[in-house]
Amino acid sequence: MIFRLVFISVLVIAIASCKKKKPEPETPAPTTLSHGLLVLNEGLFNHNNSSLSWINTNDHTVGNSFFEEKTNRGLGDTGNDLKQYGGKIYVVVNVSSTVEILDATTGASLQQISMVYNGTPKQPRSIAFYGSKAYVTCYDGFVDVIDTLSLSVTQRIAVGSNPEGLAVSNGKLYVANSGGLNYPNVDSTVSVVDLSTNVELQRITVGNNPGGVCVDSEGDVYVISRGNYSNIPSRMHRINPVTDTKEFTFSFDAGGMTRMNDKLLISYYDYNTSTSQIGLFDALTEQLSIPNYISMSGITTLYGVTYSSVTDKIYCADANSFSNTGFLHLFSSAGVFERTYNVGLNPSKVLVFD
Amino acid sequence: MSLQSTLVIKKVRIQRRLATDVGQLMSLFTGVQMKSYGGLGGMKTITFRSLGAGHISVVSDHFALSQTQSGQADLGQIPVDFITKLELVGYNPLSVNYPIQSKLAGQIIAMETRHVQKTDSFSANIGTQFGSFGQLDGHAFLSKRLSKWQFAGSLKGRRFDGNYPFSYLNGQTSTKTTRTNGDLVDVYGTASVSYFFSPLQKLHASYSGAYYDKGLPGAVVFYNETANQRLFGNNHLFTLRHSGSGKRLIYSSGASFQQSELNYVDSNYLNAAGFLHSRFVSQESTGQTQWRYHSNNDSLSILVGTGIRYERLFSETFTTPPTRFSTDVIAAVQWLWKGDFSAQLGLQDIQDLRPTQSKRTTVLLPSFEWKIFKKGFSFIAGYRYTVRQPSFNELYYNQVGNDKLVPEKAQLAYTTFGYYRNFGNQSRWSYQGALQPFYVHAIDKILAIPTKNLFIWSIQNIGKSDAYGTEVRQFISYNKNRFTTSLRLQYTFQYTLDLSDPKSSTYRDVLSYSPLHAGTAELDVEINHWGTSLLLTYQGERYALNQNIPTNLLDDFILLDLSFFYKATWREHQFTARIAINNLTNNYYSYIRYFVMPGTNLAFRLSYDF
Repeated sequence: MIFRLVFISVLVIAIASCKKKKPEPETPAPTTLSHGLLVLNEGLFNHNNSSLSWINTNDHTVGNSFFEEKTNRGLGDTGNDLKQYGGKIYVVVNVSSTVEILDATTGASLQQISMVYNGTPKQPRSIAFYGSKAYVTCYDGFVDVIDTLSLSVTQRIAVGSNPEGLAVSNGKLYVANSGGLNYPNVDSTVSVVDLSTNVELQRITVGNNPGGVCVDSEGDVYVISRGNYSNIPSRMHRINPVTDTKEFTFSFDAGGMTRMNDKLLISYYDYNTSTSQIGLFDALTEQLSIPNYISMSGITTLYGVTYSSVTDKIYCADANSFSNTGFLHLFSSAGVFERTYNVGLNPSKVLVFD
Repeated sequence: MSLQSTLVIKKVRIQRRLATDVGQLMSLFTGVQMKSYGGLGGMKTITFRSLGAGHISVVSDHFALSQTQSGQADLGQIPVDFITKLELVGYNPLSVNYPIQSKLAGQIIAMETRHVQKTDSFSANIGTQFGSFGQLDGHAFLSKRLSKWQFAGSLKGRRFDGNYPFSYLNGQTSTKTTRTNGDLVDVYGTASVSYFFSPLQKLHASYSGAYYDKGLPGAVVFYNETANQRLFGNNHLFTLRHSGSGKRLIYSSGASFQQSELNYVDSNYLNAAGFLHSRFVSQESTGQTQWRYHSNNDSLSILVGTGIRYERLFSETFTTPPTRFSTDVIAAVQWLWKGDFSAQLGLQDIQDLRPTQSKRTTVLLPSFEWKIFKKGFSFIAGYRYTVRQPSFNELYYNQVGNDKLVPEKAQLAYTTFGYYRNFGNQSRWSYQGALQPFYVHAIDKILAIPTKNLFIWSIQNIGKSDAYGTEVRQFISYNKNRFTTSLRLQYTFQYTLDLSDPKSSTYRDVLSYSPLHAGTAELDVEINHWGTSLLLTYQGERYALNQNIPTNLLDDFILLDLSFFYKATWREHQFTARIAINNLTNNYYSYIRYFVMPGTNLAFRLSYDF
């Protein structure tokens, strides 16, 4: 009896041991970047698994190792922002504290800028551009100025605590000071920096825990204050870039803003109910014209929205509960679902290559 | 090796390993998966048959170590030098040597030190261990018997630089560097006094204190090697225990008070102050009594007992300190009829006084086991229902805590098929083998998930899992005159599935850090005064996240540790010199992804007993 049970156990072990998923073949990264989408996958904290996915929009194949194939090394830990400026792609990697600069034609690495200052990681978050400079918010309370020709940090501009999003309007840089690491005593201001002198001019009080900043077609500046995730809601505010005053606070829930011509796509993910919504905001009339512009069925965790005027498409990044590989859902500018791509872990930002 | 539900590692085997803490010994138990967060002095926790550390009660000299704040004991902080016996206790309801709260937990790691051993007249031990990466420690133990009194004291101190070289793969690029901020200094001391009313009745009081200060090297982060976080604190434990036995009765009663202070400092924290210092003080007071009655021929035994616990956590974070008051009641019976049948019924009543609400939880915890032994063969079948309460961290820690959590529940079913035989000329050969299939079903698993944003996670009761597997233990030994040799093979197969959400990408995937295969092989040879020991440890492939995709897969690894010793004895004096070469093949590996472990390292140990 015992020997029979031993035999059965060994058999069960042997069978179960054979159950191993075969890795799916990776789609290789292209030689030149065209007819495709470059997706930044944040990855997870302390897993060094931030990545760039390349989606070929002709044959709809996806490769999730774009950066590694181009550089023979990993992107690092927690990629936060991805933007193209001129002939270069900039990737801001938060926990690794680097800014990776790639050639926008080939994807080859041009420079890795270490964002460690006096032995302290600056934890870069977001990037914006003006003239020949790139501006990177750093969680140590500064905006770093990177010369886009020499690809080096040339100046540090002191702003508020734990700055997050930033945007340029009317020759000024608007920086959201979150103060997130001082929770519950978070910051509530936006720093205004004169880009001719790179000096902070003033701070505008908007609301608790400012995050994203966006500029509409008329130059108006919009900021989202994320509240306290409890009884203070997440709200969008409008700043007049001439007077540098907060003019209005909108009453709808807002977690992210994406400019789409004269409109803004207002995205919101409710962490309590795990539901998402994307509304259409008319920046000319200052009205939320369509509260549910895009159907969220099939989207588990809305984590980023991108609009491309080149393709006239909306790209919704789905973090799929955060610890699983995510999806990129493609919609027409009218909000009609077209296609889904399986990408990397926690996708958030997209660049479109025609 | 035992064919009971309790696995025992005795002093001789412990000392062969030259371990610096209890965590390093855990891989010697089947069913146990160790999680080491980085080498010497690093935090070490365990899971047992897929049950997390919160289901495991760590008991030292009959008192459970407080797990109030984090819900788990850091086995990397417990020294091994004074341990005479280390047990993995699955089920032992009739024993009065384990606290009631521990017997109601999923599993017990129990240690007995020299402090609770009876000394004839005088015994002492002094020793030192030193080795790679700035390892240096010293320990001393002294015990003196004076008539009905016994006094004992022990002291242990250790330090590591912790800066060990390692290699990791970044994409296609292999990078060699040195681990930093892994230093450690700690001191651990115990004083105890026993009074023997009679040979069968004693009163034992003890005080244990510890201080520690260590760097937290954290995970390796690509391109950012800075690590400035530190942890320091102290622990105090006072115990008083009265135990004894009579013609029909075995009993024990005890009380304890524990206080732990924990300080976490991050000098690079980017807040307005420029640093973060979090200080927590947890306190636990306990009292309990257990009484066992057995019939004239021992065929029937009954145990009843009750215990109370009062736990509090102080921190600047809380205006009102979280408080928990628990009452445990246990009744157990053992009936020796057609084998050995025992059953236990526990009642646990928990009152959490939470800042926003008070919550009361009452649970009944049944379990039973049936054993038969015949002509060297043994068979055990058992079932248990166990819960673990959410820890104070899980309930209240800043934005992460969730004070609406309910206990995590688990059901365990297991069997053991064992065989024991002495054979050969003068029965010099001895063989023991055991096969233990098991099944564990857990619900309301307490997991951390992002609920506010990716950087602000929260603890939720969302997990559900099934685990089944088999543990295999084989032991063979040979003794002749002054030559002994033994071989132990231990293997655990475990298949743990995530059943939390049928719509999730990870539904029915293997849970993270649950290798299908793990095992050890130990070969010991002893001739006269000389001995050698070889330990091979294997941990199979496992996933770093629940999604079973290739990018989450961690490589398996094999470790080879070799040690030698020389023992000289003269009358009551014994001198032992040991040397160990750990990770002989200089394997770069990690239990937890990017928490790198040291390569080849040496340890020397000198010990003198009298």
